[in-house]
Amino acid sequence: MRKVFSIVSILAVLAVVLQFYFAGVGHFSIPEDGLFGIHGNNGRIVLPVLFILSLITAAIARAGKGTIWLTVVAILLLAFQTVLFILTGTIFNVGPESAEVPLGASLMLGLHALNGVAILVITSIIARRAWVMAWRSTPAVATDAGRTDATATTSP
Amino acid sequence: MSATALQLIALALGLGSAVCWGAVATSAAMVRHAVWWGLAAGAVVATIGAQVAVVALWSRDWWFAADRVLTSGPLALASLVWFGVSAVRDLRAGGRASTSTRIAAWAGAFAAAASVFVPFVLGAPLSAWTTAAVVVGVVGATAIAAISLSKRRARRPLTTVVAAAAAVVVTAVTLSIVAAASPGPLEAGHSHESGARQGIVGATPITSVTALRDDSTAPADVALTLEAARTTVELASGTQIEAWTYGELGGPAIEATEGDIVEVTLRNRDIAEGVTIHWHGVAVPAGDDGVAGVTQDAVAPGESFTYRFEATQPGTYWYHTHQRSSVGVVKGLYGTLVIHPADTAAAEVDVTVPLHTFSGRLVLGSSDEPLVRTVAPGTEVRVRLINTDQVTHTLTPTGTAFRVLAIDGADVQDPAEIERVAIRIPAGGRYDLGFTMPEGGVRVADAASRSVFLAFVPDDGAAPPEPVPAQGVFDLLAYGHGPLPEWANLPLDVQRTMVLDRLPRVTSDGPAYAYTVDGLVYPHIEPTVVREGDTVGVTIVNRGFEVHPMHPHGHHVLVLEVDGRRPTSAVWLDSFDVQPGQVWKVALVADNPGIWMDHCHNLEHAALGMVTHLAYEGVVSPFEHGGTAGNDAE
Repeated sequence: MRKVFSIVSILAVLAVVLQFYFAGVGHFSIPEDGLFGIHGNNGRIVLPVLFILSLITAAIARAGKGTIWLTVVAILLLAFQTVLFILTGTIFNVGPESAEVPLGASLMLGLHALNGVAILVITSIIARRAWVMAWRSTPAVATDAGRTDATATTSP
Repeated sequence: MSATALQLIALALGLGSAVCWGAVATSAAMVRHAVWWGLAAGAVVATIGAQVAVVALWSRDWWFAADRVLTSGPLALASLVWFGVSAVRDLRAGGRASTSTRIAAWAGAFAAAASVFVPFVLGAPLSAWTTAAVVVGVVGATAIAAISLSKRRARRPLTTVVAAAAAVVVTAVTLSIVAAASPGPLEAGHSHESGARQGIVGATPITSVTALRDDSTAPADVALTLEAARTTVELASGTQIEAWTYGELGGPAIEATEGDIVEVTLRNRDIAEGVTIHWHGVAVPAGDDGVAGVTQDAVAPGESFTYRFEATQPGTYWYHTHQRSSVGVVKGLYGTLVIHPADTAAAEVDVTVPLHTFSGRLVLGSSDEPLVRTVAPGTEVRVRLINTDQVTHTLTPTGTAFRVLAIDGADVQDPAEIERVAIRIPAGGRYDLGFTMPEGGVRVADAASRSVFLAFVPDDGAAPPEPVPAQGVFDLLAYGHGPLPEWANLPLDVQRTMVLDRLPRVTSDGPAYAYTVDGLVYPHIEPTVVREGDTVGVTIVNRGFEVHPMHPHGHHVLVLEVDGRRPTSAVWLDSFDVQPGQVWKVALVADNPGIWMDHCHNLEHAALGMVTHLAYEGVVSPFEHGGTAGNDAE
């Protein structure tokens, strides 16, 4: 299961990197071509599925409390990516039809990019930990992983 | 508080309580330690708060809350009671949390996760088996937690349960993909031999939409040929656009007088995707409605189709393609249609302005520069504004008081003068504004552009007035005075509820984050089935976070209520914005037999599933979605 967790978390990182690429493609294309839709579909279907799988496989692989919580944080940050738009729309009363977007709304929506960086960092940390657990068997790391596993299982 | 705000609160509390429950379930702290009982208190408060938000949503409309009330709500409350009893015992005894308390916390976490998963993946209404599956899922997940807590060494049962859960998920996904490929309710039950491909066969005799056409032989009063073609247009600003038009950008403008027979021949020169003409807002016979795959086949390059109808309702309308409309209308396949009344004289200055966005530039008519008209002070002016875009246009007239003379082609009863009010025109909607030209000039600003506006000046070269921000937004429920027709107060023959949402679904183009009606996408949404003469009530609930400009074909609807507010006059619309969290109640008289599309006029939303139909019993169609003509209405 650790190997499955490792593969899922690497796929999650790849999908996040692709998500940045799709944002670029969307931004530098004609709106009528609808290429921004790829970014939307990847972000709303592929990423949630991979992130939730990451949480489930981490839990089953007994990846340790810290790592499991990191997968939860990734899911919450992912949800915030969409909620940010709804919140901004409600606060500044702007929508897709608005030509004039208040500066405050733009500054707030800019957090979408920073939050994306945070998601990339967190998924990378998860993937690295998963990789170490699954594929490295150097004594030091094994003990480390063993210890977190032991804490997770003996904590009750 | 708006339903949208309540939805966000329920979401935030659902996520928050899931995190708190998860922390409590995995915490190794002593129960009397502040960390433990602090997290526990947080979980309890967030869970109770989330249920309060759900009840508040229920008070707005059942369909905002149905999914949570039937699934996660009872589970959350049950785990809350279990946790409460068990945690109080633990707190009395001291030490660490008991296994029972931990399992209860896990149950709370899974119920909270379901309260987020269900509204954003399954939606409402839920079928009985979906409701059962959610309950089984939460109980099953809790069972897994219980097994792994009590039998730490035994991993086999865990693997078995996980494998079973995975099998359930795979089966559900496979079933939904298979279901997506099956015919929809309109298509089911028609063999290819009978010639009919769609329709609800209930009444006899059976009529085909191809027979529902104007069969008079009188010569046409307004006759013209429109040639749809690809073209490159240079806008006034110098921007070049690749447009598809019926001959010119934003036109040609068609004008007719009440009672005229209008005959339009459509030729397709070179639009490979195919083209049709839909008469937006006009109650034409069903066979002339121009919907590819429902009332005709898409007109291929080199082919033609002739539309013919009597112009019975004076007003402002427009026409556009209904084959690949999410591409064709955006690229310019639209024009204006004005039907003048037979008995009253037109205003001295009567201007029709379609509002469209090409390559990010607002285009009024055919120009992306300010449209300025010189009008002598004292002249009566009527401005017909038509929103041909996908999203709402907000316009603010300044320099004069004005009246909203008509909306969607229907005259307003007793319109009062208003001033400094912004008009929000839904996608596909029309507003006719009237004013007497003042000495100083008039500017009609569109929020979609800083540089492009409509203006009326008293002398050539005079500067239009500076834009002034609006102080309010036009409220069509409080405008005009007049009685509703009597039938609107009687029990309606047919009642239908449409729940709008955005959910992951398999559309005809594959899996997508789709736009749904009743949790389904085209062609699987149940049609509203009526008989001629029925009065039909439609309740539309928007659970999503986007505006949906709903457009029923072939009929105008009478507004009965919006969020419980009743209008002060009879408001007849064919394109209306159902805002996020709003509940609209509208009614119509089934007086135009056919199979009529009823869809979101944000055509991207329609292309992603938000299309249903108003189907008269006994009317069938020989046309089909796809097929050799490549019909694809959206």
